Amino acid sequence: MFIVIFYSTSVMKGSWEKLEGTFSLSTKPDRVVFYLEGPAPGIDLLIRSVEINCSIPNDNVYHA
Amino acid sequence: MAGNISGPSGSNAANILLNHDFSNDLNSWHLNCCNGYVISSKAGDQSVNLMDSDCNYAVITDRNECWQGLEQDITDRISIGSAYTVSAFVGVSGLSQDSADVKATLKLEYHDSATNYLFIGRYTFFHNFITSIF
Repeated sequence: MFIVIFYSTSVMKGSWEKLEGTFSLSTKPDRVVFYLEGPAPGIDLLIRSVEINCSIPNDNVYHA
Repeated sequence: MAGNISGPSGSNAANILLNHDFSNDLNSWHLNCCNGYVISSKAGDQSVNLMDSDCNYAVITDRNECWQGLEQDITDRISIGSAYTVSAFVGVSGLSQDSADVKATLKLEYHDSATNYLFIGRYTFFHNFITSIF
């Protein structure tokens, strides 16, 4: 039995993928930094656009 | 200055990120222990185009650690108790391993206690394997 694996990197070009998530903070830090990270060293990270939208506002608290 | 009202997800809520689409180069963004640049969608850009894209995009390069990337301070644009949705269109270049993760994270700094990290989301890129068994 032979197992043949073909590698293709061409699909990586033009492949924009959507990373999604949600968050909410219960306490106010002194500093909040959003960042994108992750690939191993040697791999370049490409970013086309980023959005952070308030989906459920809390109108009962102080807005900085 | 807030971000665009409508972005790639089609949402109507205001985007709290500045320069969210890199239309103003890397202004408002900070490179965390690495290098980066923006490839412009404008005709005549002589940069090597890594992606099939008609939009500007940032290339984060010369990374020596997984945590190195691009960040933006959003302290003054966050309200306690509110819920936020995050969406980012991301890619990778130079993938030589089976897979690579791109992660979105919040760094929460306190004067009187240790820094906390809040995981938001992840996308895993895979090499395109075509496997045949004989």
